[in-house]
Amino acid sequence: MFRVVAILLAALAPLSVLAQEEPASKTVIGPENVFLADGALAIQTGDYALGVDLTLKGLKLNPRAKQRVAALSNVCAGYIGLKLYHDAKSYCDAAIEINPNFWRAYNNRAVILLRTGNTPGAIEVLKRGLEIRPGSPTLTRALEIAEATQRTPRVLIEDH
Amino acid sequence: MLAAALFSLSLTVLSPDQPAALSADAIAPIASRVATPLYPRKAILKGIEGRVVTCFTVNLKGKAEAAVVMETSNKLFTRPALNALRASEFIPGSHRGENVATQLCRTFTFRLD
Repeated sequence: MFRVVAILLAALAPLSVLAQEEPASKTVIGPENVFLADGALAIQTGDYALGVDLTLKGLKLNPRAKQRVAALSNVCAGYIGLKLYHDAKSYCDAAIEINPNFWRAYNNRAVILLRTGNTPGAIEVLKRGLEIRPGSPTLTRALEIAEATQRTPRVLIEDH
Repeated sequence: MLAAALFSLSLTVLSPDQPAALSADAIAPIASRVATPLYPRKAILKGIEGRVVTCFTVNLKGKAEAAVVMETSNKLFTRPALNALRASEFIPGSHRGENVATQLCRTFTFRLD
Protein backbone atom coordinates (compact mmCIF):
# COMPACT_ATOMS: atom_id res chain seq x y z
CA MET A 1 0.00 0.00 0.00
CA PHE A 2 2.81 2.34 0.74
CA ARG A 3 4.94 1.37 -2.19
CA VAL A 4 3.82 3.39 -5.11
CA VAL A 5 1.20 6.05 -5.03
CA ALA A 6 0.70 8.33 -7.91
CA ILE A 7 0.41 12.00 -7.42
CA LEU A 8 -3.16 12.84 -7.94
CA LEU A 9 -4.67 15.32 -10.15
CA ALA A 10 -6.12 18.56 -9.13
CA ALA A 11 -9.09 18.47 -6.83
CA LEU A 12 -11.45 18.70 -9.71
CA ALA A 13 -13.51 16.00 -8.12
CA PRO A 14 -16.95 17.56 -8.63
CA LEU A 15 -16.13 17.85 -12.27
CA SER A 16 -15.35 14.17 -12.37
CA VAL A 17 -14.62 14.14 -16.04
CA LEU A 18 -11.53 16.16 -15.33
CA ALA A 19 -10.08 13.47 -13.16
CA GLN A 20 -9.07 11.34 -16.09
CA GLU A 21 -5.97 9.36 -15.61
CA GLU A 22 -2.88 10.14 -17.55
CA PRO A 23 -0.75 7.19 -16.48
CA ALA A 24 2.26 8.06 -18.54
CA SER A 25 2.60 11.40 -16.84
CA LYS A 26 2.26 10.44 -13.22
CA THR A 27 4.91 11.49 -10.81
CA VAL A 28 5.54 8.59 -8.52
CA ILE A 29 6.20 8.95 -4.87
CA GLY A 30 7.91 5.86 -3.61
CA PRO A 31 8.36 4.37 -0.18
CA GLU A 32 11.25 6.64 0.65
CA ASN A 33 8.76 9.19 1.94
CA VAL A 34 5.82 7.38 3.37
CA PHE A 35 4.15 10.61 4.47
CA LEU A 36 4.04 11.87 0.91
CA ALA A 37 2.86 8.54 -0.43
CA ASP A 38 0.11 8.23 2.16
CA GLY A 39 -0.79 11.88 1.84
CA ALA A 40 -1.26 11.49 -1.90
CA LEU A 41 -3.40 8.43 -1.37
CA ALA A 42 -5.54 10.19 1.23
CA ILE A 43 -6.15 13.14 -1.06
CA GLN A 44 -6.89 10.83 -3.93
CA THR A 45 -9.53 9.08 -1.88
CA GLY A 46 -11.09 12.33 -0.74
CA ASP A 47 -9.68 12.58 2.77
CA TYR A 48 -8.28 16.01 2.08
CA ALA A 49 -7.54 17.07 5.65
CA LEU A 50 -5.54 13.93 6.36
CA GLY A 51 -3.85 14.15 2.98
CA VAL A 52 -2.74 17.73 3.52
CA ASP A 53 -1.54 16.93 7.02
CA LEU A 54 0.51 13.91 5.90
CA THR A 55 1.93 15.68 2.87
CA LEU A 56 3.00 18.67 4.94
CA LYS A 57 4.75 16.26 7.32
CA GLY A 58 6.42 14.63 4.35
CA LEU A 59 7.60 18.00 3.07
CA LYS A 60 9.36 18.60 6.38
CA LEU A 61 11.59 15.63 5.58
CA ASN A 62 13.15 17.58 2.71
CA PRO A 63 12.22 15.37 -0.21
CA ARG A 64 14.07 15.57 -3.50
CA ALA A 65 13.13 18.49 -5.73
CA LYS A 66 10.91 16.46 -8.05
CA GLN A 67 8.96 14.99 -5.14
CA ARG A 68 8.82 18.34 -3.43
CA VAL A 69 7.14 19.95 -6.42
CA ALA A 70 4.64 17.11 -6.70
CA ALA A 71 3.95 17.26 -2.98
CA LEU A 72 3.40 21.02 -3.04
CA SER A 73 0.97 20.56 -5.89
CA ASN A 74 -0.75 17.84 -3.88
CA VAL A 75 -1.12 20.11 -0.88
CA CYS A 76 -2.63 22.62 -3.28
CA ALA A 77 -5.06 19.93 -4.48
CA GLY A 78 -5.88 18.98 -0.90
CA TYR A 79 -6.66 22.56 0.07
CA ILE A 80 -8.83 22.87 -3.02
CA GLY A 81 -10.72 19.85 -1.75
CA LEU A 82 -11.12 21.63 1.56
CA LYS A 83 -12.25 24.78 -0.28
CA LEU A 84 -9.37 26.73 1.23
CA TYR A 85 -8.45 28.41 -2.00
CA HIS A 86 -6.12 31.03 -0.60
CA ASP A 87 -4.00 28.35 1.07
CA ALA A 88 -4.18 26.20 -2.02
CA LYS A 89 -2.92 29.01 -4.23
CA SER A 90 0.22 29.56 -2.21
CA TYR A 91 1.20 25.88 -2.56
CA CYS A 92 0.44 25.78 -6.28
CA ASP A 93 2.47 28.94 -6.75
CA ALA A 94 5.32 27.42 -4.76
CA ALA A 95 5.27 24.31 -6.95
CA ILE A 96 5.29 26.39 -10.13
CA GLU A 97 8.07 28.55 -8.78
CA ILE A 98 10.29 25.52 -8.29
CA ASN A 99 9.27 23.86 -11.53
CA PRO A 100 7.53 26.14 -14.02
CA ASN A 101 6.92 23.09 -16.22
CA PHE A 102 4.93 21.06 -13.71
CA TRP A 103 1.67 21.01 -15.57
CA ARG A 104 -0.41 19.52 -12.75
CA ALA A 105 0.18 22.61 -10.67
CA TYR A 106 -1.18 24.68 -13.54
CA ASN A 107 -4.22 22.46 -13.63
CA ASN A 108 -4.74 22.94 -9.90
CA ARG A 109 -4.12 26.65 -10.21
CA ALA A 110 -6.79 26.82 -12.90
CA VAL A 111 -9.24 25.01 -10.63
CA ILE A 112 -8.70 27.63 -7.94
CA LEU A 113 -9.36 30.38 -10.43
CA LEU A 114 -12.49 28.65 -11.71
CA ARG A 115 -13.80 28.09 -8.21
CA THR A 116 -13.17 31.69 -7.27
CA GLY A 117 -14.96 32.97 -10.35
CA ASN A 118 -11.98 33.99 -12.43
CA THR A 119 -12.75 32.00 -15.55
CA PRO A 120 -10.62 34.09 -17.93
CA GLY A 121 -7.68 33.64 -15.57
CA ALA A 122 -8.29 29.89 -15.49
CA ILE A 123 -8.35 29.73 -19.27
CA GLU A 124 -5.08 31.58 -19.45
CA VAL A 125 -3.44 29.21 -16.95
CA LEU A 126 -4.80 26.14 -18.73
CA LYS A 127 -3.46 27.38 -22.05
CA ARG A 128 -0.10 27.84 -20.39
CA GLY A 129 -0.37 24.28 -19.08
CA LEU A 130 -1.15 23.02 -22.56
CA GLU A 131 1.92 24.75 -23.90
CA ILE A 132 3.90 22.72 -21.38
CA ARG A 133 2.03 19.51 -21.99
CA PRO A 134 0.38 19.68 -25.38
CA GLY A 135 -2.55 17.37 -25.88
CA SER A 136 -3.02 16.56 -22.20
CA PRO A 137 -6.58 15.17 -21.95
CA THR A 138 -6.94 16.58 -18.45
CA LEU A 139 -5.92 20.09 -19.39
CA THR A 140 -7.85 19.95 -22.65
CA ARG A 141 -11.05 18.90 -20.93
CA ALA A 142 -10.53 21.48 -18.20
CA LEU A 143 -10.10 24.13 -20.85
CA GLU A 144 -13.29 23.02 -22.58
CA ILE A 145 -15.15 23.28 -19.30
CA ALA A 146 -13.68 26.66 -18.48
CA GLU A 147 -14.60 27.97 -21.90
CA ALA A 148 -18.10 26.53 -21.61
CA THR A 149 -18.70 28.30 -18.31
CA GLN A 150 -17.86 31.57 -20.01
CA ARG A 151 -20.86 31.25 -22.27
CA THR A 152 -24.12 32.75 -21.12
CA PRO A 153 -26.96 30.27 -20.78
CA ARG A 154 -30.27 31.46 -22.14
CA VAL A 155 -33.65 29.84 -22.42
CA LEU A 156 -36.04 31.16 -25.03
CA ILE A 157 -39.70 30.37 -24.51
CA GLU A 158 -42.29 30.40 -27.22
CA ASP A 159 -45.94 29.44 -26.96
CA HIS A 160 -47.78 28.16 -29.99
CA MET B 1 -42.21 38.70 -18.29
CA LEU B 2 -45.54 38.32 -19.99
CA ALA B 3 -45.84 36.24 -23.05
CA ALA B 4 -49.11 36.21 -24.86
CA ALA B 5 -50.01 33.08 -26.71
CA LEU B 6 -52.35 33.54 -29.64
CA PHE B 7 -54.17 30.60 -31.09
CA SER B 8 -55.43 29.63 -34.40
CA LEU B 9 -59.09 30.63 -34.31
CA SER B 10 -60.57 27.92 -36.43
CA LEU B 11 -61.66 25.16 -34.07
CA THR B 12 -64.57 24.74 -31.73
CA VAL B 13 -64.73 24.58 -27.97
CA LEU B 14 -66.08 21.21 -26.87
CA SER B 15 -67.08 21.87 -23.29
CA PRO B 16 -65.79 23.96 -20.40
CA ASP B 17 -64.01 20.93 -18.96
CA GLN B 18 -62.48 19.56 -22.10
CA PRO B 19 -59.41 21.04 -23.66
CA ALA B 20 -60.00 22.42 -27.07
CA ALA B 21 -58.63 24.84 -29.53
CA LEU B 22 -60.57 28.03 -29.87
CA SER B 23 -63.30 29.18 -32.19
CA ALA B 24 -63.81 32.64 -33.55
CA ASP B 25 -65.57 34.01 -30.47
CA ALA B 26 -63.03 32.56 -28.09
CA ILE B 27 -60.15 34.16 -26.28
CA ALA B 28 -56.89 32.30 -26.11
CA PRO B 29 -55.13 31.73 -22.81
CA ILE B 30 -52.45 34.22 -21.96
CA ALA B 31 -49.32 33.39 -20.04
CA SER B 32 -49.41 35.54 -16.93
CA ARG B 33 -46.29 34.12 -15.32
CA VAL B 34 -43.59 32.52 -17.41
CA ALA B 35 -41.15 30.54 -15.29
CA THR B 36 -37.77 30.13 -16.94
CA PRO B 37 -36.10 26.74 -16.64
CA LEU B 38 -32.73 26.46 -15.00
CA TYR B 39 -30.08 25.66 -17.56
CA PRO B 40 -28.66 22.31 -16.39
CA ARG B 41 -25.15 22.78 -15.06
CA LYS B 42 -24.03 19.58 -16.72
CA ALA B 43 -25.22 20.91 -20.05
CA ILE B 44 -23.36 24.18 -19.53
CA LEU B 45 -20.17 22.33 -18.69
CA LYS B 46 -20.53 20.15 -21.74
CA GLY B 47 -21.56 23.03 -23.97
CA ILE B 48 -24.84 21.35 -24.84
CA GLU B 49 -27.68 23.33 -26.39
CA GLY B 50 -31.10 22.01 -27.25
CA ARG B 51 -34.83 22.35 -27.13
CA VAL B 52 -37.90 20.83 -25.59
CA VAL B 53 -41.36 21.02 -27.12
CA THR B 54 -44.20 20.25 -24.77
CA CYS B 55 -47.95 20.42 -25.24
CA PHE B 56 -50.34 20.69 -22.33
CA THR B 57 -53.73 21.77 -21.17
CA VAL B 58 -54.32 25.14 -19.56
CA ASN B 59 -57.00 24.31 -17.03
CA LEU B 60 -59.70 26.56 -15.69
CA LYS B 61 -57.41 27.68 -12.88
CA GLY B 62 -54.81 28.80 -15.35
CA LYS B 63 -52.34 26.04 -14.58
CA ALA B 64 -50.64 23.73 -17.04
CA GLU B 65 -51.65 20.12 -16.68
CA ALA B 66 -51.33 16.87 -18.59
CA ALA B 67 -48.11 18.02 -20.19
CA VAL B 68 -46.70 15.79 -22.87
CA VAL B 69 -43.16 16.11 -24.14
CA MET B 70 -43.45 16.12 -27.91
CA GLU B 71 -39.78 16.51 -28.58
CA THR B 72 -36.59 16.81 -26.59
CA SER B 73 -33.11 17.08 -28.01
CA ASN B 74 -31.49 15.91 -24.79
CA LYS B 75 -32.95 14.39 -21.65
CA LEU B 76 -30.99 16.88 -19.56
CA PHE B 77 -33.45 19.57 -20.59
CA THR B 78 -36.70 17.70 -20.08
CA ARG B 79 -37.09 18.01 -16.34
CA PRO B 80 -36.12 21.69 -16.09
CA ALA B 81 -38.60 22.46 -18.88
CA LEU B 82 -41.43 20.56 -17.19
CA ASN B 83 -40.62 22.12 -13.81
CA ALA B 84 -40.75 25.57 -15.36
CA LEU B 85 -44.02 24.76 -17.06
CA ARG B 86 -45.47 23.57 -13.76
CA ALA B 87 -44.47 26.87 -12.16
CA SER B 88 -46.00 28.93 -14.95
CA GLU B 89 -49.44 30.48 -14.80
CA PHE B 90 -51.97 31.48 -17.39
CA ILE B 91 -55.11 33.49 -17.72
CA PRO B 92 -57.37 30.70 -18.93
CA GLY B 93 -58.83 30.80 -22.37
CA SER B 94 -62.49 31.70 -22.58
CA HIS B 95 -65.39 31.15 -24.88
CA ARG B 96 -68.43 33.41 -24.88
CA GLY B 97 -67.36 34.80 -21.58
CA GLU B 98 -66.76 31.47 -19.86
CA ASN B 99 -63.39 30.07 -19.00
CA VAL B 100 -62.50 26.93 -20.89
CA ALA B 101 -59.66 24.46 -20.75
CA THR B 102 -57.50 24.82 -23.80
CA GLN B 103 -54.49 23.17 -25.34
CA LEU B 104 -51.25 24.95 -25.78
CA CYS B 105 -47.73 24.03 -26.75
CA ARG B 106 -44.56 25.63 -25.51
CA THR B 107 -41.07 25.39 -26.93
CA PHE B 108 -38.09 25.90 -24.66
CA THR B 109 -34.89 26.62 -26.55
CA PHE B 110 -31.72 26.25 -24.46
CA ARG B 111 -28.86 28.28 -25.87
CA LEU B 112 -25.35 29.15 -24.84
CA ASP B 113 -24.37 32.54 -26.23
